[in-house]
Amino acid sequence: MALPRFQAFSVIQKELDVKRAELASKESYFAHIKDVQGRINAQALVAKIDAAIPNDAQLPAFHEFMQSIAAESGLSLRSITTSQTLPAQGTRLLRIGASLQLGGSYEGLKVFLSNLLRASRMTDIDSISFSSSQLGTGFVFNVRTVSYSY
Amino acid sequence: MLQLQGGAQKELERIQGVLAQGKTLQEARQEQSVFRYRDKFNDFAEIAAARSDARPVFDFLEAYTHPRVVFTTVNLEPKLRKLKLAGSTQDFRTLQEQMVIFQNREELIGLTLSSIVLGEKGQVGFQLEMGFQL
Repeated sequence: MALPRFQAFSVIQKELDVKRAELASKESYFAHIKDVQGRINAQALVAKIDAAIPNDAQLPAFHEFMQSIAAESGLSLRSITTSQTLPAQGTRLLRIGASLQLGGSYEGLKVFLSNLLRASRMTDIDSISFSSSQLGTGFVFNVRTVSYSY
Repeated sequence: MLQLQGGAQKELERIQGVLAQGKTLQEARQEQSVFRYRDKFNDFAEIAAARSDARPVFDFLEAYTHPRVVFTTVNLEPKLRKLKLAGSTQDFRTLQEQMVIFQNREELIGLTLSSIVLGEKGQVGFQLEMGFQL
């Protein structure tokens, strides 16, 4: 009589051990996630990465960013058009293409390139084209850039 | 024995209940945030590693353009390290000298001269295409 009861208890006990292990694993996983989140929050690098790749496109801020980089470089931003490319499958990275027309000097262009490389918002140059200026009126630079957001 | 079995059964049901609830809202949010940052770090590292600097190409042109050659149009694709130029010079000899200067530079990969045109006033127009390993 005691043997079947023991067998039933043994089955429950084994299942209990399995479920306890499963629960411990889940708790350990989320404790790890919490720990990682805490370490992420504590890192100054996160703020830099969030500035480089903001969590949304922030297009008006992006236009202002380009305008200020141009102005700091001694160039005038004559026009800017932007277009967004949706993230590829399996990624969250959004690409923001911009076509800029900038007016100014050749030296200004080189300063612009330096400033863009050092800027907080990560922006890469896709292409630069310009023709020789006429009658000393300065150059018109056509610059295509790509920036990113999440 | 019955008491033990009952206790174990209750504990089993409790744990099954906890497991069945799945993630709490806070756990799900935290998990999503961590995954987002993991992806973002990876994307950031990838983009940073692939960044290209256009400035050395302009430094190169400033250093190795023949004094009697004028480049009138510049078209640079820094990521592809490709540069297309349209230019003019006084004569074919100067153009040849410019070609020799560029051909001797290790920074260049491939140099193609095309569209050589003799202008009305004797000036020579041309186009150049080159790749860079800067």
